Amino acid sequence: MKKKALKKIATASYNNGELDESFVNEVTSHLTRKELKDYIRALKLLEKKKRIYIDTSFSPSAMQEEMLREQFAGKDVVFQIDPDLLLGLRITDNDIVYDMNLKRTLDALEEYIERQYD
Amino acid sequence: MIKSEEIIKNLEKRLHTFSADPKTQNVGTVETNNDGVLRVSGLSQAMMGEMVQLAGGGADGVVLNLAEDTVSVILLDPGTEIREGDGVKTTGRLLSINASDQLLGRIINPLGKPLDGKTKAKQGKDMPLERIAAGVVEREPVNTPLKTGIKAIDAMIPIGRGQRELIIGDRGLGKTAVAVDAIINQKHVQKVEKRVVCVYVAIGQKQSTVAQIIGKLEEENAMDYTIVVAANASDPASLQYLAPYAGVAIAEYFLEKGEDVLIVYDDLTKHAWAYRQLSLVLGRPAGREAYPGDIFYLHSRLLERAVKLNEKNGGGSITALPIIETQANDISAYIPTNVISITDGQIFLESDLFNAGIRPAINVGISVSRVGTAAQTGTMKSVAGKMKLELAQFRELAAFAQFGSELDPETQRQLERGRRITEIFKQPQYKPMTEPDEVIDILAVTSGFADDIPVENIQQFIAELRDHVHRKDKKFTDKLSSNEKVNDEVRREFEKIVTAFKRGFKI
Repeated sequence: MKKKALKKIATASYNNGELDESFVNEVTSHLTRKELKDYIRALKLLEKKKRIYIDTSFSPSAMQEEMLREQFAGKDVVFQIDPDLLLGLRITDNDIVYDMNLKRTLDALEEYIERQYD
Repeated sequence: MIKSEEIIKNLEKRLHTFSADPKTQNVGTVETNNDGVLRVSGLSQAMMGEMVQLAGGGADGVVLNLAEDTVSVILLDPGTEIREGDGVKTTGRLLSINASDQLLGRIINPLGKPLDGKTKAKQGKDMPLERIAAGVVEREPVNTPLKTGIKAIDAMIPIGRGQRELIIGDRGLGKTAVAVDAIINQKHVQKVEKRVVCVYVAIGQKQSTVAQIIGKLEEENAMDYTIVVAANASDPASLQYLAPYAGVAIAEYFLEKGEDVLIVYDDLTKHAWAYRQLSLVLGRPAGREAYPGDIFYLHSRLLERAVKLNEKNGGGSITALPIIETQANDISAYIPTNVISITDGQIFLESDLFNAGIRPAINVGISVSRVGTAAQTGTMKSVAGKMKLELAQFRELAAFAQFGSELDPETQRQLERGRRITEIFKQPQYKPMTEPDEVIDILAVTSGFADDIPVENIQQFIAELRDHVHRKDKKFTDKLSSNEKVNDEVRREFEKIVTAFKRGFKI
């Protein structure tokens, strides 16, 4: 079975935004090992696209959390605390990362200086 | 001793362009690594040809394939440990090389990293490796000679600044030697004319060979105006693929300043092999001889960047000398025919001539320069024209010489003249000649002054004649440097000089 077909099956495995376990079990019983690997990869990609990770250096208040969830309506927002960020936050939306924190600024500064002095 | 204030001031100056704006990064994950080509999931915003970096400040790579869910990245640094699941991020930059005047005399790799053990050249201008060539309106016809110092080329197959002239032949016939002589000759040229910056691009060669070439250039003081870009045989195919583009990007830095540049690509056959290797690993469809479908475009877009700009755009030029290695003199193979159709002429080196002792082994009969006499000075044009005709007549009659039958005096004369012209085209390696010296040699033979000298003594004759002219009559040499046509008065003067010389000449 081609990858495109498996991607369509993966998309069809969702019911109201959640994975349909019985559908998944039914599908996997008909797949070869390689097809199963591609199917799992497609499901993981869809899960990644559904979810947004917001890493903060501090514990956000309920109001702040609500504000951020409104920005990403329709997606599953997961909050994580990462003290390494020093200040600010990092939003990871699948393969796009919005780095709005002090650590990123300092890292960018370091990279810039290294390029200048290299 | 640098004061603290100076350090801080320096830092502030360097940081004034730093942007602290929040950065949007596009990231991905390594899925597979096949022979230096990574398949990366994510990177949905990556551009074709964009540089990417492995997470943790690791190796750099370039995006070369864009698929629906993945991108293929070629690694530029082979020595990095890469595992499945490693992060990759885009940099927002296309592949570029930092070029400055400080690169003169340096040996670097296609990424700008020094290979000569010295520190990296200070920040200059970032020149993109891929760039659209100058348009028709910005160019002007080639009208200035690029003197190689090789008699056969300067007289019969003249190259102009801004031309692309292919050097083609089997292995070991002296293709690199011709290019290196052209570079060394610029040392003489810059004393009397606008200097020519030289860029030598070594693609897929043995490091020992490259070291030998660099050693010779240093010995001849040619490294002062030369930059060597090397991607050796042990370097990844990605670096060998990028090397010529890095070379021409550096050449364009000098071009933009209005300078003339000579760039040698040694050799494009290995460049094609490296690109074939990359394309096959990237999964691109294989065409003729397993080369990818865009193999022609690989070289055409490279060679189109050789240009002669008009005065309005700076008046600079890039002259390209691509080298192609053939197998068994087969110039009808795929890559040779591709590059022949792109360039403005070709210099054929033949093994038969090489084995017969004619070195450089240039077959002037089938070698061509499509720019022609527009790339010759008035002096050379006035002496070379007659010689071309005599050589053509000699080639036609050469077959008869084998029969040993009695030939009429005129035929005999033409054969003898042709033999002497062939003899003066022989030239030692690494000994390029100035134009006055070349003209002296050609005039001596085409005016008939060498007709009574045995062929095997011609080299001695012309060497001593040149020496005599330099010692006894420097004004005559200056006349030959004036770019003026050799008129009857100059010929009469030359006759007097040769007559006086021949009185004392002993074989």
